[in-house]
Amino acid sequence: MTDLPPPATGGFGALLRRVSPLTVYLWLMALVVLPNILLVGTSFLKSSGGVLVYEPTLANYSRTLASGTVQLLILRTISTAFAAALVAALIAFPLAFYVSRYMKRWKVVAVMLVVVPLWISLLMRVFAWRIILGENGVLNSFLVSTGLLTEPSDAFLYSRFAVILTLAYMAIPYVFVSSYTALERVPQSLIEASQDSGAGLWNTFRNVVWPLSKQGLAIGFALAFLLAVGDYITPSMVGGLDGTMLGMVIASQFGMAGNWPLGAAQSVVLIAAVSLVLGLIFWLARSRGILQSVDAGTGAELRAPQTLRDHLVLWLVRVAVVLPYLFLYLPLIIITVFSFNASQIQTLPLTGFTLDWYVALWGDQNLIDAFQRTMIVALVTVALSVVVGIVFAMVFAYRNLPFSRLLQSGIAIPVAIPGIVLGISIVITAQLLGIQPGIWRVIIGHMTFVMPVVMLIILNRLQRLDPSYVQASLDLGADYGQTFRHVLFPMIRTAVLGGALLGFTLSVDEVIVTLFLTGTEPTLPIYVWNQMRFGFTPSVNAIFTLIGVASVVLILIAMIVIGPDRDQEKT
Amino acid sequence: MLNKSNGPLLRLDQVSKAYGSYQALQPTSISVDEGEFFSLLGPSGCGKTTTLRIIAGFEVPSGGTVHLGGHDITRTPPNHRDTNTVFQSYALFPHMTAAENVAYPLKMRKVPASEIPARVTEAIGQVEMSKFAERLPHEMSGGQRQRIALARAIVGRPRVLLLDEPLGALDLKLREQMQHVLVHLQRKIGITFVYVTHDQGEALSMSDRIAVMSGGRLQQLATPRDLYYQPANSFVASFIGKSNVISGTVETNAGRTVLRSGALSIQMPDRAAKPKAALRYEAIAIGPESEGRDVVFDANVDDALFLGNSVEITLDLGGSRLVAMAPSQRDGQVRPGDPVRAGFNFRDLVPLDD
Repeated sequence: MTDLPPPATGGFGALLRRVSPLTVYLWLMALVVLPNILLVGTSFLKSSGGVLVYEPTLANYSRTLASGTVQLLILRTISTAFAAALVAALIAFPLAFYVSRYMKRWKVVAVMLVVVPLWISLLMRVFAWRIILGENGVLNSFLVSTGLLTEPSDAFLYSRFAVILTLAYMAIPYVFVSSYTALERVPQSLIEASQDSGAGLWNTFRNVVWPLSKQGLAIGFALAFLLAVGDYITPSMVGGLDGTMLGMVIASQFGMAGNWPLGAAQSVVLIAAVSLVLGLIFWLARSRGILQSVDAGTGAELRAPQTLRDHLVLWLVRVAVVLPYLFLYLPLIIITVFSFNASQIQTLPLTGFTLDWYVALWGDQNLIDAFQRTMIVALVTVALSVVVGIVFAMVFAYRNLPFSRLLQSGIAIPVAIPGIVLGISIVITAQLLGIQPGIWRVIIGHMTFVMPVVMLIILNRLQRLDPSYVQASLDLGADYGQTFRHVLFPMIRTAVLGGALLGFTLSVDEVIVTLFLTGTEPTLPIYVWNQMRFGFTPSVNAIFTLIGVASVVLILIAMIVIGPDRDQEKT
Repeated sequence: MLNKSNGPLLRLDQVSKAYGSYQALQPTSISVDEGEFFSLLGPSGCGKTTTLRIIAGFEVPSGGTVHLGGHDITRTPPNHRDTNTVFQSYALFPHMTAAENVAYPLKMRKVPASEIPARVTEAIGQVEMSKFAERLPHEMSGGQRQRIALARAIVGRPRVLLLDEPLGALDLKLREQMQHVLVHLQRKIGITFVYVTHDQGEALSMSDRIAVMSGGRLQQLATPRDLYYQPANSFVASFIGKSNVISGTVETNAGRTVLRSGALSIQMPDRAAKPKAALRYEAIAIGPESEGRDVVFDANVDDALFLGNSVEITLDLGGSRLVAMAPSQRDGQVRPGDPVRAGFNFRDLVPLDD
């Protein structure tokens, strides 16, 4: 964080350097402040027959807060999201603990296996649970065929249970990654110091590991909660009447004959409730002291089991570690299997092998159009986000902007607000600015959350770099442009590629925000979503399988292309 | 539980450690007596830290046994051992105050709650940190954290205190100061210290006995004086202090034994002279001081490094080189190119085994 001297020579780099702080403020105003002000502003307006009436009123809030149904819905939404985050935490944290502290050789694989499902389409994963839990679903077929149930139960699907289960399922990777990162930072020497002081496993965990990792868990928990609370896709697919959440009601206000001001007011109320919960979580997870990273958290040496009890415990632990992976992959496997199943209905037993569902995809021109649109959106979004992200990251890393931290958080707000709220705030803004529904609306919408992610990844890398590299380059006579090209970029290359890849997958898979922005030209996930609502064909399984395989192949290619870091400097 | 037989307090018997195919520690036997200040000295990767971690219980040896007070503790987990460790990184719990850190081992060992405050106060007082008891680790300097780490390790009154390069991260002044604190504390509380370091000065000044290690092997185990004056091999000779290693051939003719090394030929008083010997820099006298030494020779000054209290003079003996260390003087500076007379005594020539 050093403020560099002005360049000796002019050129494009110098110009960019002069105007770049301005663009940061501009972005913040146009894509964060304005949409949120408009959202709040709209909540105080009236609506008449779907048209906004510019007449200030508190009616939307009184209507929202006075309604018993809405109160119940808010309560249920918060408690459902909380329960989902809790279930995810209960599964992910112990797993992260085990992988971080006790795995050695298979550690990287174990982490990757938890993260990979994030790259598989969100719709696919939700849809898989519908297949599993449905009345004619896999779970029922299994239970009936084994005699555990005499007839299929309709209690699984279309219930709060189904919503919580599915949301928890989708949150596990987030909670895992964030817990794992925190656990990895706990130095092994502290654990040894605790053992050395006479503490056994439990006391070491309670007094040392937990206080030092609970903030990481809290961040994962908050992320899980946010994703769940802003999700209206999952509850409408697996929730039924019982599983209705506020997001669905808000979304409906922005439909055909909706009431925008009422929806906006409901969003504001939702955000207030969410903030309260998040505040409570972080208050609970507060901790004192600063962890100075002195040595990496290398895994502990597990003592070889000696007694029969040791062996038993070891086997129990192994089973407990494998179960979450089964939970993560079973839905994906089922979708894949059914994409080759020669039957219109999704029940066991399988009836035969077919490629019909895949063949059918080729003839579907709408599908191919949607796919092309998705690629255009994702590529443009990522290209713009990378350029802007690099410029912004450089501004934050090398210029002493006042309130730099606050500005960074401000730009990242769209990542942290519930998807439903982000969606409608952009709709309102786009409508007011006269940006028509369609590809550009979608691209702008995606950039609001893709760019911050790319920027933060690059910024993180820049801040770990020794500032003297840049100073050395300037000292040796390079101007800013040359310094960037020859010195800085090679060192942040992997961060840029990583950010771009993550941004790409975020954009390609996005449904919740996109649904508000596409109009009559859907992207692939939106197209699939519409298909699923209007009637089911097993072709959906085939699409998802293809997307899933393509995602995994893309990840593998990216990992090979990116290769090992050129900048192996340890900090 | 106390086994007050006259045997050593801590005994390592043929202890070895292998990580896969890499042998970190060759079979090594070491005994440490009650109340002793014992050091493990060697360069990084020599096996000293592995040895310490085996004693602490963080590593289970691949072979051999560890006995503490007559009991086999080879497979006893660290939390059931009567040893405590001062970690190289201090390993203070960042979320606990100094006092909480020091109280931690007492709580874990189920010391009655009523006793804890007094013992914490005492331990913190012993390291002169009473004023900082309520600070969090990040609010303290490196030296202060060091002292708290020490207090945490002694508060439980372990039978053996293990110290893993505890002064490594401190600057020179603080390091010297802490050496005095450590020696003083060890005498006062009478706990056996096993001290790991790569700094020979530290080991020499504090230890009762030193085990010099290299390449996973014990090279020599002796008192500081013996190590210095009677190094067993060229590794020890060059690692401890500064020595010329003279290696050449031994010739015996007409009843006289001569060690030849380059331009130097030394008439040895001993018939069984070895072809390799160590000669401390300071054992070579320069100028008038060399009069009357057993071996006297002429040389040219090749280089002279002024070190403050001494001068390190490289002597050119017509091809071969020897380094001498002479006390520095205000007048009479030695310059490169000067011819000088130098000499040393036979007894300073230490025959080396290898």
